[in-house]
Amino acid sequence: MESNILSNEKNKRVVLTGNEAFIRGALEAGVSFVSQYPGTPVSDVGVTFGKLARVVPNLYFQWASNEATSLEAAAGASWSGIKALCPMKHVGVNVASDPMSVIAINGPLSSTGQGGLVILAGGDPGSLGSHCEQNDRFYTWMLHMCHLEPSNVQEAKDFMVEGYKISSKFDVITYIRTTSRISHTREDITLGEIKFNQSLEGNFERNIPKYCSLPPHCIENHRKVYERMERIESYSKKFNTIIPGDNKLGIITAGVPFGYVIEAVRKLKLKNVPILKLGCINPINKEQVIKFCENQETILIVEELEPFIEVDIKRIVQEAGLSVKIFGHEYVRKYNELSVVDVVQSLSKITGVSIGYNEQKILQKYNKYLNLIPPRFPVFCAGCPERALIYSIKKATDEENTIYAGDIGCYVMSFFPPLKITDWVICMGGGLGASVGAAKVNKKPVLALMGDSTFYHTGLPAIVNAVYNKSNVLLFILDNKWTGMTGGHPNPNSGINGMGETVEKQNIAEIVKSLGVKWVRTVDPYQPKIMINTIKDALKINGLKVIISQRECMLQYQKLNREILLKSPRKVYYWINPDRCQMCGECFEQLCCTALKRTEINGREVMQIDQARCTNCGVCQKICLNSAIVKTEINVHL
Amino acid sequence: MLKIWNGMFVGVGGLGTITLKRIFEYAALKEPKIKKIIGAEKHGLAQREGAVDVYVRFLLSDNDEVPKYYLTSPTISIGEADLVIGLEPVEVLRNSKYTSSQTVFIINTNTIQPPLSISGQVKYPSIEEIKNAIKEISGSSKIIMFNATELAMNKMGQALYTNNIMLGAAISTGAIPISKEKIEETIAEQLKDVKKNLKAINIGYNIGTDLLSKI
Repeated sequence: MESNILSNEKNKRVVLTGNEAFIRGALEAGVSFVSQYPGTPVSDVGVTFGKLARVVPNLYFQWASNEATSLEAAAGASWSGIKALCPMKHVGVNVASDPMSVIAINGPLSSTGQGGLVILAGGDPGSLGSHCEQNDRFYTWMLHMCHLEPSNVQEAKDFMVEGYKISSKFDVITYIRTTSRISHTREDITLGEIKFNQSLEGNFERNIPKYCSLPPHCIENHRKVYERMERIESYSKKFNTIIPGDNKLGIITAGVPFGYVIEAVRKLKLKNVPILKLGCINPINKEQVIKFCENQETILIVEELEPFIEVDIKRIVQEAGLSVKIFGHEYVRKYNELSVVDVVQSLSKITGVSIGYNEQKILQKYNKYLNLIPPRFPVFCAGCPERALIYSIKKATDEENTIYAGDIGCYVMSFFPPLKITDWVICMGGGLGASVGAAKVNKKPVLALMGDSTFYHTGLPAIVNAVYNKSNVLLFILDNKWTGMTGGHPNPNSGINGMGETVEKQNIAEIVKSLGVKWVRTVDPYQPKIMINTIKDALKINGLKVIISQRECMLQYQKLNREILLKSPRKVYYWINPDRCQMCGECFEQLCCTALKRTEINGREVMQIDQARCTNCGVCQKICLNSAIVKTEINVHL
Repeated sequence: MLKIWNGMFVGVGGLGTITLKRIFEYAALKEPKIKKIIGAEKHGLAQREGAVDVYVRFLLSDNDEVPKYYLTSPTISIGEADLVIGLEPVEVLRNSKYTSSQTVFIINTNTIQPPLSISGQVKYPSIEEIKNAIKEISGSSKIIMFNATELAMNKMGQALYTNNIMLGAAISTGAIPISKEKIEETIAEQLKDVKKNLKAINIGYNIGTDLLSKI
């Protein structure tokens, strides 16, 4: 994979994901400093940069503690003349928005006009890997960033190269917005030239009016940013594509929906529909829009989530006094991701052309069988220590009379049935944050979950607030050593950083104690009895209590120890004695491990363990009420 | 003549759906009549044993010049799949609206029960029920189902070879617009344990040929 990203054969045809194409583009542009907090759909950008930083000279990569510290670090590098990249997911943009608001307006370049800063923002219409599908596009209006949206993988690479040119030329942040369907799509593309002229030798020069955001400078900088955006407007034309046609209905679109539009128009056999595909959606080139709309009777704007392009196009058309009718959200829904099918339906409604194939018939037959399909929600992996903790929490508390605050991380999956013990999910650190208020006004005990990566990300301020305000909450810090949810990335608890350097772990228990928490216990979640008793003890105490549930992520553990586990002569198997299994539900309802399977033996339904998926955590054996689960150890050398 | 070919591979996070897809893409680069390759993957939440659906789409033409914007969507539409490789049977049913009477199905009958079925709240349908439903929804007669996981365990000693057995069966149906040799060449370049993986392809090829002849 990395070999294709680094290939020096100009015009070579390769297959890359959108994320790999962004990386290639950034390297072609000479990016040297990359800083990121992981988040779908751009998590793997950092993983790959981490690997590349060990082979490409003068390329630096860091896993940052959150998106704000990440962007601040990138700005520090760019102000010193080094080209920097800062990928983050759409909700990460919220976290980074505070520093972003100043950096964007004052400009990311050095005093002498060196550097460049690109934010690669991963939107997620359809919430394919997110807890919400907010439309992060509006930040670029508010903060005057040049906003590019590639509509395919080739453009992902090309726009990244151009994005740095814009940032360097106009002293603005270029905001390149991807979505899951660009980032995680693979396509054949052609590579450009790569010189590997990365440099980490920066030179920061003092420039108080530019870098110190205080009056009167902040007002002058605000004035200047309008000037810069005006200049970008005429430059931005080159990112847009016009497919000409003489149909009186025209379509304006951007990003991945462009791909849906092309195929939808063909499916409906609409002839000669002109299409304006915007590559730069802030600032939108007015002249081009007016020229495109002038000869049309109707324009349909196809975009995902809240109308963004639509609002701007309607404004431009109204200011120009054109009589064309502009539609968007009237025909295109404002939530969930789109598909060719959705665009076909929108176009069918606006043109009156009926959908002329047997789709409806297939759907009718399909809908008849919907009841047959069991839902499949994301779940804790087999052997996940977090599942074991959730089991103990359920056992130690009265579910009807307890409030369970969730947060962002693998433990969010305790919200899905059959576990269902998460009462709210807000944002990183928001679980404990809201617990402070809930605990003050409710008689029920309040329990809050927080992962180790969340702890460093935005959990710390919530803990400080809870201690300071004498909040009566039991907080679980789920210490699994890695940022698990996004795919096992290192964090300050992992002992390793983005460059692969060994670093000292920032001890959670010590930090929590130093913040003033008096009652702190560390328990292994694979010991449910001890965990249950510890939770019961904790609930007798007033104030903020912390239980650190400490056990390495099973997925990471297996990945990192694969060789050792394979070679070990000691093989462990857990299996269920069918004669003893009473189908009581303790393992399959209360613990609900995915390595369990319902089977029929001698005409009786019993549970069995799927050996291909069991990870030998042994928790099911400890909780079985009928001693039906047996552990067998074999030494293959004996 | 321009033709779009659509492959849909479905399964559960962790089964190797994406690796299988990538074999197709690398092999497609070797096939001169394939002018364009595009396809969406599913990452992130899907790796936690969630439902995975990925697509691989080719633009086929004998002519070197093809329109720049023709095959543009990373996902497919209702009834468009030419080939479905199902690494888990219920996931094929979940995605069966993308199939038609023209679709060729290769389905592993080894089941992975979702949590609600393990806990007994929602019944997991029988293989017969799944097969009948897919047959009715698609109208296809080319539905090849066998337990590829069991076959991999019995003949290769490891479940790891399941997907290449499925791939071998898919090749035998002639539903892939890439030759067997080019796919084997790709496996030799991209995967470790080449000998074993090629053996798996042949096991799949033979069982596919056999099952197809019985339809």
